[in-house]
Amino acid sequence: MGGHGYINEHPVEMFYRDNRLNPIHEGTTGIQSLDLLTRKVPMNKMQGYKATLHEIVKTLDEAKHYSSLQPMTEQLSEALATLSTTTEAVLTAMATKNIDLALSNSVKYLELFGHVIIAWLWLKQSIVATKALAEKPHQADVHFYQGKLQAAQYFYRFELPEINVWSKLLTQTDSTSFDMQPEWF
Amino acid sequence: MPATLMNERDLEFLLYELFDSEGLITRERYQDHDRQTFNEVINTAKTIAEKHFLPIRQKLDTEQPTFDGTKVHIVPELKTAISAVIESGIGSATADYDLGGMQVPPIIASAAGAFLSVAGGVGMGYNMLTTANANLLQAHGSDELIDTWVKPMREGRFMGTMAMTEPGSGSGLGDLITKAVKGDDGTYRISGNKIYISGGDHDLSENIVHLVLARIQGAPKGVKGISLFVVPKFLLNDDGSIGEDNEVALAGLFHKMGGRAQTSTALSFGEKNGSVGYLVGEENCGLKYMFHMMNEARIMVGTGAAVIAVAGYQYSVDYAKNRPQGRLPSCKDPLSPMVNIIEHADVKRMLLAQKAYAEGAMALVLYGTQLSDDEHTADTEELRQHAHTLLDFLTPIIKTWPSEYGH
Repeated sequence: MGGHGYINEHPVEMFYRDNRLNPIHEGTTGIQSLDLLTRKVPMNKMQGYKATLHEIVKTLDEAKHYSSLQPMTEQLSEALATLSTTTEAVLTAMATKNIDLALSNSVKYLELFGHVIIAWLWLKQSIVATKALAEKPHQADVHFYQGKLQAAQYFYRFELPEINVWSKLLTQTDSTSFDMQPEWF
Repeated sequence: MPATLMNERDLEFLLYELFDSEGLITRERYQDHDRQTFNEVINTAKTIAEKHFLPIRQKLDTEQPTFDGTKVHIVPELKTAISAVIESGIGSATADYDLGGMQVPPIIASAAGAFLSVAGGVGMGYNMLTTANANLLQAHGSDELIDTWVKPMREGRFMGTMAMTEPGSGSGLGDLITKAVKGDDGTYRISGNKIYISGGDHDLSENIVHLVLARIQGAPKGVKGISLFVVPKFLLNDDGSIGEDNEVALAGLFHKMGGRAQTSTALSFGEKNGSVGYLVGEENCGLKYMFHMMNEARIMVGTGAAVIAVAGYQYSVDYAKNRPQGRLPSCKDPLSPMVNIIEHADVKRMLLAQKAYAEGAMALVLYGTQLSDDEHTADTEELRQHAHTLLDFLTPIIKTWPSEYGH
């Protein structure tokens, strides 16, 4: 919206301010990421983690029937493999290294997992859109479903690849934040 | 510019094409419903949003609540708007029939609530906290607590809060020091200070039901010594009418950058004789109960963030389609008409990013909401357990991803 989005004649600047509390209250992003790594992932022999991955695999199997979704399907399979190796590396670091160091990039883990989940939901939306387009809907719906597929493509091409940067930091137990000293600020 | 509140085609897609909300009517709990009644609930919310909340949205943001030393003053139209929600039944739509609810599936109530939260900013926060508070008491409180406090909250006569944070203890709740002393009659006397209590004081309801975390004298240190109490602003007489003041004093209001319609308060409990508190469940189990509410609140936070993202995206698209400015790089003719900015590639890139975040986040929170329903109402115990496992695992992501990417 350019400058018009920066002034209070339009509500978007209020939306922006209103949302600023959400990463803080009811448990900050940092706390959520520690909850995920120290409790939710290892809990009950990784039951929740495995159940979640299983849901994603089910969608991947379904998506294989649609040739136009092949690139997304392949990319999500790779992302799932990245998530698995990253999880293994972080859990190993938590068991063998200084726990404060091993958890120091936990937010990046939560972001990585979040991106995989959102990518999964975009693939699910793409399957629905692809099926609906095959039924030759009316023009307004053609636009709607094409928009879904284009947004999914955007997420896969512009956003999902970011997990590779985060995965590298996590698997190598990058110590940049951990090593920083209060006196150095 | 009159932008639509929500993308209704997208909501329809999420509810009925991506998630099979219509299929829910085969469950016993929802057997009185069908797609038409679902849409009536959503349309009622939309109508109230457009009629009562949208006209005061900017006013709620610019005229923050004030405290004159005795009373809190909030833009008076908010009370009318909230009353309209309560009278419509939308406020407790998901509750059981015998508690005054409509047994609407949470995913439908969430879609309906989206219109209200976009139009009303956080004015709806009072209702949401009340619902979460009532749900906690219903799950963990004694029958007496439920009869006394849940019913009036479901009816909209009382509102609820959760009072956890203290000046010295926010994210680290194990260090909280609010005190509880057991009296001869089985009730407790609560004393201490709480801050950032949303909806901690206002004149929108007859009474305010605070759920307060406190440490009983002699309890273990840390999180294992925390108990949960109902501490009302006013005690009740035997006939249920409003009685004595319960020494819950407003020390002051905080002034926030956003979410301004909802008061954020500093409360002082029991400065003289101690506020009367009623124990919820068992002693020293307070945090466990609070997490019942907390998990629900975390889904609500994620939902609030996703809805804001959708609203911002909607507004931006509407604007970009109607704002002529400049020409494409390929056009060298200064006399040619300007294009609407939605034609510019980088504007399309930004809107695509908004769409990918907003509609991805909305899908995530509705998925989480459906899981929160499935864990109670799915057809088999196995499916209920499966939904519980998934929801429990995904809650940190459902709360965080929309919050961090929803702007």
